[in-house]
Amino acid sequence: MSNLLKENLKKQEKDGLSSNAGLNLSNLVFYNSGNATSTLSTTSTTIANAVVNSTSTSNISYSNSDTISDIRGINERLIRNKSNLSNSSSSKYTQSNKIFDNFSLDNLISPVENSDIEYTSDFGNEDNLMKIYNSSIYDYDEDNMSPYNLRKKYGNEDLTSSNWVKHRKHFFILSSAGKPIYSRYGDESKLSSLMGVIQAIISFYDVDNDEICCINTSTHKIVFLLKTPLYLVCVSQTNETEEQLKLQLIYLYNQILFSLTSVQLTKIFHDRVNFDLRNLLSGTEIYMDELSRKFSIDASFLLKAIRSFRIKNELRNSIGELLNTYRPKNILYGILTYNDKLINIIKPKKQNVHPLDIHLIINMISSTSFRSVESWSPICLPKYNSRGFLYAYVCYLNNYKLSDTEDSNSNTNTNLSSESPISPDSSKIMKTDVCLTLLSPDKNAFFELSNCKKKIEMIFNKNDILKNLSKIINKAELDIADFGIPHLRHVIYKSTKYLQFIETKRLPPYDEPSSYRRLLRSYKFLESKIHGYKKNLKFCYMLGKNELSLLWVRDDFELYASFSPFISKTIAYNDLLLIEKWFKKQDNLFITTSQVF
Amino acid sequence: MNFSGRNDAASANMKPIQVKLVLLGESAVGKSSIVLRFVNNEYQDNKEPTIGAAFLTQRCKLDDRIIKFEIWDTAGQERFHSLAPMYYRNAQAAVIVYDITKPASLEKAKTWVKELQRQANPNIVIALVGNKIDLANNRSVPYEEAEAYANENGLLFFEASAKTGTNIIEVFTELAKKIPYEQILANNKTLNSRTNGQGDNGRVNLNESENNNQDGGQCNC
Ligand SMILES: Nc1nc2c(ncn2[C@@H]2O[C@H](COP(=O)(O)OP(=O)(O)O)[C@@H](O)[C@H]2O)c(=O)[nH]1
Ligand SMILES: [Mg+2]
Repeated sequence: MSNLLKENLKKQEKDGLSSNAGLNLSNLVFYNSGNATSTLSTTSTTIANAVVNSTSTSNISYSNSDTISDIRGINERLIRNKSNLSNSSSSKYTQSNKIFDNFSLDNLISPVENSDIEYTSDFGNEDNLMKIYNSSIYDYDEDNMSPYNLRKKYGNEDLTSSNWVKHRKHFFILSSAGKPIYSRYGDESKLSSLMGVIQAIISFYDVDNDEICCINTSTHKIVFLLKTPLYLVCVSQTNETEEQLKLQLIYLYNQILFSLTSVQLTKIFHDRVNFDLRNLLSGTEIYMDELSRKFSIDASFLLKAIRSFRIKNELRNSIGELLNTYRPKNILYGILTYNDKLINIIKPKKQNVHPLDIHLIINMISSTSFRSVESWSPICLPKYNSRGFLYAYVCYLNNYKLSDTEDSNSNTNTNLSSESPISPDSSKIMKTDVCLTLLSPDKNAFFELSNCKKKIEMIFNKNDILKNLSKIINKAELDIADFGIPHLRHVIYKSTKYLQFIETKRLPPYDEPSSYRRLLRSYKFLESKIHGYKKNLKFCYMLGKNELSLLWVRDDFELYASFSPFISKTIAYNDLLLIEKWFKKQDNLFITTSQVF
Repeated sequence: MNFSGRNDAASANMKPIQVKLVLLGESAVGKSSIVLRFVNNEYQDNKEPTIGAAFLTQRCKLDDRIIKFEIWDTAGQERFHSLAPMYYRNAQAAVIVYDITKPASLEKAKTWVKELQRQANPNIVIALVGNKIDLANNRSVPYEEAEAYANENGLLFFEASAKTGTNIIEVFTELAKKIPYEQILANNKTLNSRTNGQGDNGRVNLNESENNNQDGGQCNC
């Protein structure tokens, strides 16, 4: 079938149907694994035609061509917008449709002293970038919305919705057979024509035993992750790099394994190629949605590290010892978290924890469905073992006053009368955001783990641990004032050794989600420069209209910082040294000696 | 029957009778909302879906007995179906929920009834609950239809709303009244003598479930 399609497309190309393509062909750059930098090869032109002309070649409905003209609409608006900007700054770009030219390496590298190399983007360039973000793209008001509401809000969009094409970043998951499985926005079942096109593009390369990785257009980056029987695709206007987007696709893929295991996944599609996986994944969309959202507002995914909860070493250690003392016999990990931060973890001696697994667990337990109950869920930790399920006992701990007649049973005594279902005893019980997660390979271990939780909860209350934790919660967040450095606005410190990081409180301007997203984007940009550059790059900075952001990388740490844009980079650099010294002196940042058994 | 008894000194000294109860039904019909209304008297719009199963307990006083409900709230999704027997196998009571605005959810409820009749404890007391009557304007399952089905199959029947609290306590009350306690106590006695008086009489025994479930392979630790 794909052979046929290919021929058909080639024929069209000959017939000259390729002109007037919706996407800006002149700027299409294809990367595929076989042929790393084949710019505008004939094949890529053909693929672009596949996108554009598919309506005439196969059973793809008209709604699809509507979208493409919509995309073209945005495209043109962007180009117009851009050329306006370029006219005012430099005319160099007017003929080019590449909006983000200013981020090409050539413009940015300038050698500095001591083998450190810095990047800078001058004011004008960042201006361009910001204006582009502000002008055309869907205005987000989603930061305070629950995933459930988000799905309600965007879940009914389809290719013809004018808003649908404006979303800054789309994620699609389809089966190798082209069946829709997940879309971040819109109703998957209404997107089958689009999924068909994606599948056609992918199988086009498959014929030559090649794999498509990324399509760059003047406005969009389209990244593919092929994990047969699943294809994952990201369509982004966020200026994140191919590697960064690919990592996000890897997270989504692992979220699917988290729910199904690789064994089930393979078996399902082995038995029935056309299986509709949405049946099996229903209920997990919100986890995928949450991940998709967090990619832009949570540094964990950029840093590939675990967010740690800052507490005194003694307290952290005594918590770890208590957990270890009362731990159930047969568990893999015992994890104590406060919201999205890790307080401590206990684990078998030889077993390492992978940040990705922890991220998926934390993403799951932050769902409201885990509040007020004890949960027992089969989950798969892909980095630990993608083939099998573990059973996760999850319970948020309660803070309660121990009565004199110590009753290990904290249940409320109520009667069935409707007037007052809650007894006075329960008013002393206070819910906390401290969550205990125990992972067991035994699906019958629930009551054993539940009893352990009771003991742990009681011993924590006896030792005032929950009370102490709730007391220090304000102090647990790193305050920028602690550094005593003027003009410093934000810091992230990651330990490469422990794969953990800590971040300062989001003070103005970063209490605004849009500003924080912008800050993360600049960090992402710096990260891509440091890690994407061949030579051993240690330091780079970016000066923008809103802030001066810097990244300094050494063997054992990565330090991201943001300063007022009016400060010189030399001063900022010296401040970085001070900040790093400060961090080196702290002993309460990370879990350095986790309890092993 | 007197249902309003407070938790006085006499009853506090009594050992509660444990009643294992399981909630079943299609996802999003309101199972979790019903339990949370019953146990904590709380309700949340836009409750996020349960993953796996959730366990809750609630003590109640019925006449001169103290009953401790041990409740398994299961996730309705397809992929957890194979785990369901683990939760209903030893249950003495089941609440099967459908959504009165979704006819398909009643059909799903009926398949649960059949599965329980085939595979659960033969003395299990089942209540069929049509949830979301606060949305009666959008009703698409007639009261009479569901009631007739319930009568045919010997189920308790209620329409209720977790959102407003209507009929929620009644569901659990009527279930509690129909449980054959003498039998449970007798069972517990034999169980106690066998297991040397373990404290967890009559709870959902996860340990009895078979080990050949198709879980996609056990992990290797
Ligand atoms: N209007 C209304 N909505 C309800 C009621 N009970 C639950 N819901 C909503 O229905 C959805 C699914 O509820 P949930 O308890 O998670 O269902 P479950 O999947 O069966 O556990 C949530 O958005 C609830 O807020 C009710 O009595 N009335
Ligand atoms: Mg539920």
